[in-house]
Amino acid sequence: MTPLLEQFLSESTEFSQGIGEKLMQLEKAPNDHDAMDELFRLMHTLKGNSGLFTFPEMTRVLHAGEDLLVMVRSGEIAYSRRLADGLLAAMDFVMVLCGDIEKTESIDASRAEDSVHIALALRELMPATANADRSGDVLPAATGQRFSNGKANPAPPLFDEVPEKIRWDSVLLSQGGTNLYWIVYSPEPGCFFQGDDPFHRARQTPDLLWGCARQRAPFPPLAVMDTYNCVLDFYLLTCAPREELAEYFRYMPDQAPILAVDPEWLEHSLLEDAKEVGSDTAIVRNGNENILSDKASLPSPSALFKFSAEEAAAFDTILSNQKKILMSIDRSNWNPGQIKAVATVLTNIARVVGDASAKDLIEAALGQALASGKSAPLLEWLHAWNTETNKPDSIEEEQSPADNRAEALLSPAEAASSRRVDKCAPVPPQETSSAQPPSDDGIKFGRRADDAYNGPKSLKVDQAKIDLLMNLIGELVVSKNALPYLAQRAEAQYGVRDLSREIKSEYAVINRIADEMQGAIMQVRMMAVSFVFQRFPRLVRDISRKLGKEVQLVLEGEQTEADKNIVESLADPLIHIVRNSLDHGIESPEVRRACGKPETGTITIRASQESDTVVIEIIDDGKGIDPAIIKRKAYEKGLIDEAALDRISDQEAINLIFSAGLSTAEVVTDLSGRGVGMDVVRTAVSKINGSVHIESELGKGTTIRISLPLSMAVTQVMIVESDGQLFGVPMDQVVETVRIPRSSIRWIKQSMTAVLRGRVIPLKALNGLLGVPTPPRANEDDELAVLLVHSGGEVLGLLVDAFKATLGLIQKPLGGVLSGLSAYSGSSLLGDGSVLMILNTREIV
Amino acid sequence: MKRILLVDDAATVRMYHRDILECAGYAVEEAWNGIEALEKALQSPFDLFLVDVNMPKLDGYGFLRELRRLEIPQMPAIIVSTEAEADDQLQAYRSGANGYLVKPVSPSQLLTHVRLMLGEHSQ
Repeated sequence: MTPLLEQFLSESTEFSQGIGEKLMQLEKAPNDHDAMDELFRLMHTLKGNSGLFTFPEMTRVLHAGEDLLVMVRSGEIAYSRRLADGLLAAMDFVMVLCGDIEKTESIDASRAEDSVHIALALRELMPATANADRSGDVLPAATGQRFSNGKANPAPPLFDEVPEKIRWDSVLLSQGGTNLYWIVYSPEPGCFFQGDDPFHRARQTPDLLWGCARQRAPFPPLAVMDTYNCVLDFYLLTCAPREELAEYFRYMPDQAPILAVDPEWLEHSLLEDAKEVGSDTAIVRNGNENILSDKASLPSPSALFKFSAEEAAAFDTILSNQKKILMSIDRSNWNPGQIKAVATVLTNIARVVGDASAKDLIEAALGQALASGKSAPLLEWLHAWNTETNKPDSIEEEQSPADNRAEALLSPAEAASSRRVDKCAPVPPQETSSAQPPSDDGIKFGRRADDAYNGPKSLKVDQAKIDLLMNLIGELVVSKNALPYLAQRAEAQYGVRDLSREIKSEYAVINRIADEMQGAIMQVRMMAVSFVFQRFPRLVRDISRKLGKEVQLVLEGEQTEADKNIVESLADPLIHIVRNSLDHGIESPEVRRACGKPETGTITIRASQESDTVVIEIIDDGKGIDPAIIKRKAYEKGLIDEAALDRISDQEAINLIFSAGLSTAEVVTDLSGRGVGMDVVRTAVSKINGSVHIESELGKGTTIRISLPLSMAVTQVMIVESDGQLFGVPMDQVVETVRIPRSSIRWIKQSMTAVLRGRVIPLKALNGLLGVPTPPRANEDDELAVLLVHSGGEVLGLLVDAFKATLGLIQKPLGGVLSGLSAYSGSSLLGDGSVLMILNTREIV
Repeated sequence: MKRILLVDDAATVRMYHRDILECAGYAVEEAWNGIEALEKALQSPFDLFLVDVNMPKLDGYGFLRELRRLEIPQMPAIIVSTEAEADDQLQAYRSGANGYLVKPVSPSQLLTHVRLMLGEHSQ
């Protein structure tokens, strides 16, 4: 894949997302003109980009989208949801096409039909008149010239459809004595069966200057359209001799009447044009005469020099454009810079044809022009110069301007191959080979995409490489932990105290570097939660429309960062929660009105950082969760018994929503409500060491809080001892450590409890949970070490033998046969090389 | 070496033009909207401007109008637009453009116009 194509794909993705976002924004504020302009710009640029390649399917859809937006912007049609739906569908399709291109560098053939459907759907949103105007499809011109989309007023000669540049060229041709012809080629409807190819025939018309195709009548609906029926007329402007044209169309003279172009048509349209250009009529008239007269009587100066056809055409265009610019400047829009720029161009152009002396004259004329506030002095110089450089005796004419012109309108490649070899200035080698299709691979793109990018410098790296780096640093952290042991041994075992001290000071240095390194690589892995958030506007919009609810989505703290893995694994739980809120939380507009709430519900997704955790809150102002319903459901489903039914608090009841198999929705919808929602959320969140908490007030709304660690890479672990063995407990599960005198532990049936600050806390011996028969050991004061941990929204005390240090560790999942042990979340290496098992407190209790 | 400022909000288009121009031996700078282009034009002189029309913040016409008001040597500017209509061309010329090309521009077409505008034709 060429870098250009890669760039195209990445920019297309970016733009498609941008378009989606703007559509959402407009949905909230349809009169936001800035957003509308931005939306149009994105669509327009995307279409422009696609034009660099041959992806007709994509261009077709984008073109329809752009046309639609033009009309919305000009107020011809109102922005509506239907319109947004159409455009969103179109952007989805564009993304599909991008996917195709990414895989195969081409678009799957089966997409053509879809693209027609989608483009048609977009065009159906436009008023009928606009469609009639625009559906005249554009011929891909052999010349690389763009064929104009005509306007709707077919004035007799149809000349206002011919692009201005072609008209100028035609004037020059006709005044050089060449006759021009206008052909309206109307192929028979059944011409395909006679082996005719009207499109090809039209394009191959000799010396074609310009052409366009129009349908004879509005297209019938696609379903009833007979594609073997030719319904197009071709309008062609050519400068070939009449005999040649008659010969070319000899089998269908009645289908292609050849009309001689009246020079007056051309002049007329040009005069119209010039009147539009400037209000200083004196200069206009004067200037017009200049253009018409000197071009008419004399060949253009370009004939003097060894120009290629393309250069000659460009030379003339540039010159006549400067003239037009000068004519268009008057007092009302006087801008000295513009005159100066024209003077620069004229000086340059004169230098091209070897007239170095022109520089001083132009400067003098410019001085006069600036002094007088009129462009006339420069115009006069231009006129004089044109006449002077065209002295008949100095012409070594190798090519008539007519030839020039005709050739320039052939494909540039043809022109290049026929003339360039002996005539043209040395061209860079890539030029001849890639003159026509811009997407030609012949161009050597020496640059990478990021060189061309002016924004913040960033680097795309395969995640596997970062993971590898992370693992290596993990090992470094572990091996560095061996140094203190080594220092200890140096002192205790070998009795070299000094060495021990040196090892320790060296350890401090390595420790610092390793810490910084770890921090740095963690920063690399950090990602803004906006990555997940950005899909919600669309999701909320689609779902709320499906449910017939009015919902406003508020996103806050999108820039909050967390580890990539965490941000990514956040996506699914969040979608579940938001769907639930939409489906069960937010009421329908009627219900809301009846409750005295605003009809539009609000869902807020807020991310924030609290010390070492990222907190995501999903807040809705819906109907809240009714604990009574939950209790009843839980009882019906057998999740709680009758005794519990009366006992449990409202908060505990609401927490039941996280139990598997509980769905409170009255009706199961296709969005959520199969009772697999919230327990899945909890499982997914706890997998990344996070926790979910829910608060709900009946009638007011629900808040769900997800707390997640900032990073999964390093786990802070508290080391505890039990029966002579060390175990790790992740710090995020630890509430606190306390020592409880044995005497204050009470037995209720088979379970131990203790009262701590007025709360009854269940106690379990870690030994017992792990199947070790030894009872917990107490210290000298007969106190037991109790580690308070979170467990499913409750606090539980684990009786251990002793507390040790807390350590930052890289946790490795258990492999092989051990991977089945759910009591451990992983293992890690300690500095002395021993393995520390890390407990999963949720599983063991 | 002649310096050209490419003003376009589409990185793909900038890349495309940049490659063509750099292969032909020009020094190319880029700006992604009119404001940035104005800043660059004020910082250092350019010999030619290739300007897109539709851009955020300040569009191509606006950029040219401002550029032509600056007290700097006034150099040629070419508008590169997707529109071929006469009205668009008119507006471009009124804003201060010296040339007008319709996208997509073929490499040879682009180079021909750029060379002529810069006064380069080695014969």
